[in-house]
Amino acid sequence: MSAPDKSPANLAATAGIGLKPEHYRPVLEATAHGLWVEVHPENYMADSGPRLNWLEAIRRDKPASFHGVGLSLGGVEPLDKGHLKRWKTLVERFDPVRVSEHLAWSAHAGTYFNDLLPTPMTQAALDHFCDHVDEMQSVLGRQVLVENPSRYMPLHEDIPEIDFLAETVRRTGCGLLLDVNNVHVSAHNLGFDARDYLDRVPAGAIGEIHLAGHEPDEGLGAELLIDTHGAPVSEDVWSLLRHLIGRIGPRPLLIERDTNLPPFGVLMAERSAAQAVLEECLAHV
Amino acid sequence: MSDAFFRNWSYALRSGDADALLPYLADERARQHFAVYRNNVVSAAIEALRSAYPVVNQLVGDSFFSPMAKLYWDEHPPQDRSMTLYGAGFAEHIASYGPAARLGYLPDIARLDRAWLDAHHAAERETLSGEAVSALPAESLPQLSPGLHPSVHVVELDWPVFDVWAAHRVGRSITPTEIAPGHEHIVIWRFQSQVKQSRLSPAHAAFLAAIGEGRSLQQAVERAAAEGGREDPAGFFGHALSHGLIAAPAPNTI
Amino acid sequence: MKAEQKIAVVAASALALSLASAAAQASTASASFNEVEQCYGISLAGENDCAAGPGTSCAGTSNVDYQGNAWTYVPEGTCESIQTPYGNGSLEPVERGE
Repeated sequence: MSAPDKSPANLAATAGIGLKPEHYRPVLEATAHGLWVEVHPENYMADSGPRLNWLEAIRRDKPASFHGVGLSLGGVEPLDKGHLKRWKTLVERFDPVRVSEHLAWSAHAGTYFNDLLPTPMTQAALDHFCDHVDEMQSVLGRQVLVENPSRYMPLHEDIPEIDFLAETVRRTGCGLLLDVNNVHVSAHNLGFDARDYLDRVPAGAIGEIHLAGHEPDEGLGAELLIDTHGAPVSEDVWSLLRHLIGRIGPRPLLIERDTNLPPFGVLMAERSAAQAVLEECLAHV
Repeated sequence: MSDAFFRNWSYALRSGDADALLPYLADERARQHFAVYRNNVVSAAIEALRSAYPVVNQLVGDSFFSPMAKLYWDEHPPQDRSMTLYGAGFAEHIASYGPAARLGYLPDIARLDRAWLDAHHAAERETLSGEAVSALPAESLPQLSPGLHPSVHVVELDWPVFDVWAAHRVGRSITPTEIAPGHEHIVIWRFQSQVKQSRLSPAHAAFLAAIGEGRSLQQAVERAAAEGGREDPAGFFGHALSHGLIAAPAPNTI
Repeated sequence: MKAEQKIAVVAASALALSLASAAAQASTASASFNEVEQCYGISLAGENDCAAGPGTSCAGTSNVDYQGNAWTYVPEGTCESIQTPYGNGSLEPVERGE
């Protein structure tokens, strides 16, 4: 199977932020060079209303990326056709610069769990996952980027996660959304080497990078890191980012913040730090 | 990969019992980490309900709201992949939730919160303007069946809680209030990208409800008259036009 | 024409005129709706997200099962300021019963 003809839209290797309703107005008015935004399309699947109006206004002068959480690509069941159709309607309306989903599952037997649940990295799972990525790409007519998940439990598996993703890229022509914080969190929780993981990612497939903050588990402490998107990006993760960018060059980079949402200026300061990493890399090329 | 993996995980997520997951774990010590997934799934549903029913939450507080919402999730887990409209049956759930029995007005508060949410996210449609109606022959107006804008919700309450609800919703301070069971008619709708709300007389509520059922203006006026009162339903029609409650009929029906 | 029909015709045309008159005033009457209140802006919730939010392991016990007894939680919000014929609902946990 090959990727659909439509190659990913042109998006400069600049830093963006996850778009939260609390920040609609400052984002609309922001003039920072290269600023782009990302949304979960699931939050824009209402018939109409203010949220869609805001997204439309912001999209007029800033690139927007769609990052799905509900398709359950890593599940065993057929994809939800109705959900995929609503996805397509939004893609046609907003023409996102990136389209992505997760290596995870989130629904089974009619129940939607609204969480990124772990898919076991087995040969059988790989076949299902590739079929699902193919279907998503073919319905949307876009290359899809798939994101590595944050993981909390080691499962019996045949294939290292990075090989699972690389094989998905080879079979489907999809790209990767590499979440550096997720690599750090999973490496810590499951006991693998984060730098080794980053060194094995197929560089050409990476269409976008995510950065976010994590926090130690309230109960277990530093033994278990939680991908809360509720804190500033940690120094460990900044260091991994510089390592990665040093190897692969700059890519569109997104700061995700979902809880403990700081004032817009604080978030933009963190976004500037990410932008600086990208520019520093360009200066050395 | 077998279906059993997902079946067992689903059972564990719904019940909180992780025993069925042990065969899949490479390290049994990680069993307790399952709580991260379980807690995240349940609290995501609770938080979606809390944000959909903000006045219910303010009235009872977080610690009372959470177990009430958890029980709703037990009985009605989400099916739609978008959580935006999750919780359509929450008012009925509250009405049958024992610990809330002494707050007899709480289901009505939930119905108003729900009407707000539905109005906020409802489909858009062109509204009928006074000018467009004035351009029609007057004698044709009684037979006009325009319909309501899709965001319009006419709610009949069993407790008169509109003022209490609206005060919370617009951030006014809450003053001590006494309320007893009694009917109130409310309209909640979206106009120019804002959700609006107003109390209605029984006659005006009947007028709007009839328009919403696709009745003609004449039938709607008759329905309103049947509710008694001295209001002028035709005059109310003018207000409804001004505030974007009435939908523009499809071009071929006007 | 019978008297009743005549009255009906007169009533219908009166209705037509009052509807037309209401429509003519509609565009200028926009502030006159009884008690219209406008709610603040937008629904803030982004209900779907990809973070692990408030769910943490709490040392392995689930913190979302409320010990199986919702009856121990007493309303403690603004309902305390609302009196009904049945009280304000926030006094004491009621006994589990019918």
